[in-house]
Amino acid sequence: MRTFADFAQLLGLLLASTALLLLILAARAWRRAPFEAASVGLHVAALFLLPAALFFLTHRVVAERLKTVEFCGSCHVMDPYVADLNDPESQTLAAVHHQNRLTGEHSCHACHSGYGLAGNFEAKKAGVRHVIRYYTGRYETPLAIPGGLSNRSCLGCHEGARRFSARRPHRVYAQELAHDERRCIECHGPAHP
Amino acid sequence: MSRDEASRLALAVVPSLRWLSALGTVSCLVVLAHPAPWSVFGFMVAGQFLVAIPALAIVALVIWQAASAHGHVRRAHPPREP
Repeated sequence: MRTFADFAQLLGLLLASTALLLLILAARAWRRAPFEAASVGLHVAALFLLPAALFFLTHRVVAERLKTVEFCGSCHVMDPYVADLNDPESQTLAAVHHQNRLTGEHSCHACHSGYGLAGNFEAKKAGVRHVIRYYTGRYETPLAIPGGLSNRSCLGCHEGARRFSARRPHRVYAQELAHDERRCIECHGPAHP
Repeated sequence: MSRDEASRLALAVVPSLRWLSALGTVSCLVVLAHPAPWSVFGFMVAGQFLVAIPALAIVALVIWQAASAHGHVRRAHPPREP
């Protein structure tokens, strides 16, 4: 099934190719007569109109692609985690969530980013840091989140749900869970192999 | 800045803006065709700015040229009396 990101990707490729073609035409027009209306028009189209559309489309596509498990798995260091996600025998939290489609196609992003716009922004900042560390080899295995995974990642979906509220420990430790004083993972781990 | 100076500035910077925009566009093209960590990283740290900066600069130049053509921008040297 094609998604909006697929169409945006095709449109973006078309726009980028057109923009490059227009840049060549603009350069030729500029050499002939720099300030003629045709030359100025070509420059506005090639340097502003198409790039502005391309800028937003590319961001839209990149934002969607960054959330996919396939993208996270494109760094080799993630291979064991992605393999576990798809292992039908695995009982890790990540595999159970992913294989039951509780986190959809964006399983890594669903648990490893905060909620709302700030959460997305923080995830992108962290992603850029991870890519730098990956390519410069400045990382240690097994990978670990500094400070551990916050309960907010779990409670964002589970808190208030009927099955969650029905469990006595969740009610008893509600405050501690809300403040990360007791981690979900202490009872429900492991998240990954 | 007079209109002549604005024109000279345009003549000097527009070719560079075209090159910057071309690099940014290629970065978009690569990340759209192959969204891998290295291409996304290139787009995030450089490509998006290479697209955005020439776009803003060309708009500023066009507005400046239009404003100076309509006399909204002060001339550096007033025209001489006949």
